[in-house]
Amino acid sequence: MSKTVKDAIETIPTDEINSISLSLVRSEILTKVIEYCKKHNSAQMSDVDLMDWDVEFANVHYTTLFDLVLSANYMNINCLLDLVCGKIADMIKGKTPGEIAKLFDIKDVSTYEEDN
Amino acid sequence: MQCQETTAVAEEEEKGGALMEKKLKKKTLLFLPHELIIQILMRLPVKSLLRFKCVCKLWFSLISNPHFANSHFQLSSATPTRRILLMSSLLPRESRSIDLEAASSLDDYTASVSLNPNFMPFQSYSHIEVKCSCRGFILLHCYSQMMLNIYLWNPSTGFHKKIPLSPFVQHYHDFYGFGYDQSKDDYLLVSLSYHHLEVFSLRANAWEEIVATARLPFGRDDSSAAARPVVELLFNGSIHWMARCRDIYVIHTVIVAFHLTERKLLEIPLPVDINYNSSQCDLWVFKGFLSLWVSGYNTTVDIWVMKEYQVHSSWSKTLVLTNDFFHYISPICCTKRGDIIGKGGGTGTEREFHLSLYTAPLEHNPYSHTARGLVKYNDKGELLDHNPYDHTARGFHLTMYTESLLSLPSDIEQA
Repeated sequence: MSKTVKDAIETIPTDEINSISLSLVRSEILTKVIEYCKKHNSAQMSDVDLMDWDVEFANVHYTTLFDLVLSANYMNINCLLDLVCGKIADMIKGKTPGEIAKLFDIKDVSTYEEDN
Repeated sequence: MQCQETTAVAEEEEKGGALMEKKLKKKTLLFLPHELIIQILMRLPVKSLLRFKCVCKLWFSLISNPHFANSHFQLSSATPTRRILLMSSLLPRESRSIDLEAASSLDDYTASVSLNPNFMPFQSYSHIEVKCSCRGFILLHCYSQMMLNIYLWNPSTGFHKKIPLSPFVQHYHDFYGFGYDQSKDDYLLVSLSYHHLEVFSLRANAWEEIVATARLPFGRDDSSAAARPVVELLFNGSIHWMARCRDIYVIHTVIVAFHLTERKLLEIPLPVDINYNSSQCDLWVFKGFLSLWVSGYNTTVDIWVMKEYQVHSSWSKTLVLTNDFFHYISPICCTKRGDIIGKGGGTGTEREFHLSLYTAPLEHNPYSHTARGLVKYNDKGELLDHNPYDHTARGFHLTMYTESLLSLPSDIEQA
């Protein structure tokens, strides 16, 4: 796993990095991804401590999470993808459909009433 | 749709200025591809997914897709959230679903959801027994005027299907089971009565008699809480029952296992000889092992675990539970934290007994099945909590289940 991440970081040419994230905070996202990989590659922390660290790491704003999820997907880092998807799911699970549509910027909100 | 919006945003980008940052951020959200949306949806609980079906047409089709339901179930069954379904057997019927992981104590009503009576088309039946569950589906035996009606019901989605009775045997079956055959992606109902072994396949929508490879007859003992199959974890692809076997003069107790793919019966001996007159026992799954609980006249319940499946010498007694609150307790399942959840029962009321004679077959024993409350122990056998849910002393049936979006392989869906 760590080799894949390392290869992914090493083989991405400089001009491709610009196209991963489209927001103005792209350098920050890459920094976070590198921070995550470094933490998970080091054998210093126990599993429990690492899990706590992950929770803290993922405790960020939606826009950062979306950027992270895109980056983790592009760079093929499964554990980060799992962490961030889980965090997003956790944050949206209690929302109303209207709030979800707003969050994901969905225009064609269906008026379909779910049968229950 | 996404292409149009990209163009629109690009046009606005040309204007530049303070709006730039906001628009670019919006662009990011729009570019979340389907496969990532699916990855996020896969990690949502069933309740949220059902609610989010109406977010937009895309989400509706993603969530309604049977392949998604399958993947979602696979992912969630790695660390299952176990729930208990409680249903009062008699009318007026109440039913409740308790999230075992969310409940801090058994009193915690925030973790308990009352199932809307309109949600359940079973209000007309005078007597309902909740039997067992598999992949989010509950097997129900519903009686009206001594007629048995079998239903499969997914309480999360509301889907229900009536199962026809077997044409081979007219009487009620001693053993029944419900499970999933992974090799064929099929759900099976198994009925084992005195001389017959039959299987109903959801795919074929038909009953089929099976020539039994192990010896019949098996009978169940009405005086015990046995004769119920192991719930949920179809251990190693087999449904398991406790049964009594007559060997000319000797009656002994044995575990009968029916492998759903191989369609074969086999016997698994118990660790000890159980005196049915003084003991109650049944099977469950404890920490991933096939386990047996046995209770005697005293207030303790012994837990035996079969460390190696089908290896008789691997049976070992691992735990003893003490019971102070109910007439009897029986373990049901474990929470993620390793706590043991059990059902507490008592003797049925006289009214209940007479009513059930009226509505259910004579073989049915009202005392052994109804519960009065729940108990919780830690993995050392120390009692943590108990809660008598049944204040009216009417008794309820319960089963452990996990939520799923799955649907049955059938032509007609009723929901």
